[in-house]
Amino acid sequence: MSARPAPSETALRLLILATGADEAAALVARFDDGAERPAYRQIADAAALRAALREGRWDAALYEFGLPGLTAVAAMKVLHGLDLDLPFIVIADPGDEKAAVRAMRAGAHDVVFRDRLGRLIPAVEREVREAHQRADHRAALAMVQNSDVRFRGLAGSLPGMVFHLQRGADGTFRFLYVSEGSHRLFGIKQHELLASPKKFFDAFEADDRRSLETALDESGATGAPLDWAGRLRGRSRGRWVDLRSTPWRGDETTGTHGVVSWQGIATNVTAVKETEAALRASREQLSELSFHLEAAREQERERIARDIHDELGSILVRLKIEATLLAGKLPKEPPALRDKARSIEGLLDQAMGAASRVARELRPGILKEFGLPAAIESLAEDFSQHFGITCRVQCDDELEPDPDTSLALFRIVQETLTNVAKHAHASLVVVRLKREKGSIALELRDNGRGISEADMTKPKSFGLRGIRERVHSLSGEFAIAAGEHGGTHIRLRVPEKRGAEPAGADEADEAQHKLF
Amino acid sequence: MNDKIHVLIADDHAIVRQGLRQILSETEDLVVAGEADDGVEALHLARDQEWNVFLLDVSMPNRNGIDTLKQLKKEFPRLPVLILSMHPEEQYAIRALKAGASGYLTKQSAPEQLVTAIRQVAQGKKYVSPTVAMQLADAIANDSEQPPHELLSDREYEVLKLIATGKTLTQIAEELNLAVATISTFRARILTKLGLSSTAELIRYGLEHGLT
Repeated sequence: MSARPAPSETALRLLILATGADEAAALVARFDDGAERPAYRQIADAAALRAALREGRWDAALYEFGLPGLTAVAAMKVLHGLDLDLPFIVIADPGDEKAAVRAMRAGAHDVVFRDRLGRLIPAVEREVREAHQRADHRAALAMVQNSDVRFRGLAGSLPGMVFHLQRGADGTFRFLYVSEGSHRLFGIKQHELLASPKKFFDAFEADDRRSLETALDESGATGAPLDWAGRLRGRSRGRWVDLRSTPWRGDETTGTHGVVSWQGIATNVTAVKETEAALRASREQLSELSFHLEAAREQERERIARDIHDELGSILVRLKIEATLLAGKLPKEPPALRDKARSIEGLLDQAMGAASRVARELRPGILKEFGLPAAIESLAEDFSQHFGITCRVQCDDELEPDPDTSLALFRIVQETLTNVAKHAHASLVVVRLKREKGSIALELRDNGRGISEADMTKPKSFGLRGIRERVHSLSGEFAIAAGEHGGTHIRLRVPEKRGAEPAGADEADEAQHKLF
Repeated sequence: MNDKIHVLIADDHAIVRQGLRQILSETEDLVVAGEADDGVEALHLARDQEWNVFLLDVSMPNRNGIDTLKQLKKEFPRLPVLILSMHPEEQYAIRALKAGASGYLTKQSAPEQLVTAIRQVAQGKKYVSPTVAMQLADAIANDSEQPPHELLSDREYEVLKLIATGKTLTQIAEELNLAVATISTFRARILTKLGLSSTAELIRYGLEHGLT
């Protein structure tokens, strides 16, 4: 038994199964014409073969027929027993066809007769090459198997169902694949879905099923991704399932014209949908609450205003009359008495003025008595006088929205003017109120420093939010922006009569939908 | 009906009605011939008999004073109506007169003023207090109804007129020997002052106000 040190990585590594070192060396010497001399180990029995196979990697085994301690068949058994695919080439005596056939039957890759040893190198090279190819193929196969296992593992542990749905050119649906999740999500076993796609469609509520069919049609026709959610019925009633997939559409060249297939994932989105609904409900409730609070506040103001203006005011009016009549009956002398009476009248005037002012601040009586345009004009007059900011009002005449709408618009103008006075550094405000196709449009512009994005989104901008809420409660639209020519520009539109078709409700729903 | 002036008092507060009654009772020629405590009743009484003057409170339940006034003027255009309220004359008087009232008095007014007013409107004349008279005079001199373009500076007014004739900003800049940017600034200021938002609206404004 002898071995040569491995010359290099690319040199062949051969196991020479031969009687002695000389025979082995003679065989290896055959390779001298080749690019590199192979590394080799001479082996004469089964134990040495096992040891060699355990200790190193080999490219091929050459077996000299007639080795006394190890038959070719026994040697190949050792290889197979270790599950090795090592090229095994038998060198037979010239004319010993029998031995050649026996060796081939036992699994030898090739037989080279001793008188034709010129074939040895090509035979070894070919077999080594083929063995490499077989190894590559096995590795590829193993990888495919691995990735299949991995895919199934992934698909199985995804919170939902992975599917491959195909619609044939004739319009019939079938599942090419569904993951185990089908049972968890739909309560339908994998094989049932694969056998009958109808079960899949039947799992949805009738309305949603129709909408799913429409969604598939659209996605199939346009190639747009499928993004659909619907409710299940039966035992899984109330569960929301979301389907997402990008369609693949067949074409003429591949003979798949008219075929559409969707590979995607179906997930349970019930929690999201419920949260969404809860959020919407809570938003609705907040809005109602705010509306209610606002209404309660207005009622309270109204009551206090009435008490002050009507009750207290009437008494003051009467007191003034009495005092004046009494003063008129006082004797001319001494004058101090008349002075006292005049001073009382003066004080009563002040009291009446205060009562009237407080009442007006609480409740714009002018709104009821003269209507919205007059109320806004008088508000503007007060505003101009108080803050020294010119306020121009342009109102369409004969605008008579219902009392709630009037009051809301009035409060909005009031709030906006307060904002202008506080923040805008403006010298001019223009208020326009006009009728526009069954709606009332209100516009306020100022020439101040303009509102910034930050101002609009400040969490504490309650004034602005209050305006939004009011407009919302009137089913109207509202926009605020920096004006085209500087300053701030507010536009809003509300239906002239309450209860009319709410403007922009659909868009709001749409926006809501997009939010999720 | 004798020679006396028959007055109806409509006010939802008895305490005020009594006070007014007292004032009138001190005169020889004025007599309170009826009282109503809301607008609806006032209208009924107006239809039932003849009156020389109505005294209407502005804020009454059912039908407020201004609504009642408008209805009264429709049915009885020659019936003089005096509007009474606690609200300051500055805000209410002119609007009440526009709505058809013969006069407006605050409840703070001196009794003599009320008596004078009733006598005056009973003769078919208008009554305005000195305060309201001053306000009217102011309005004529410095009319709050003046067209918005009166607010413009001379330069702005000039630019507005040129825009209204359909000239472009560049043409105007050439004509006035100013930079286009300057004209653009003028245009922005004009838009803000007039409460308009586009050149088209400016042109229409010009046409409507005969500026072209």
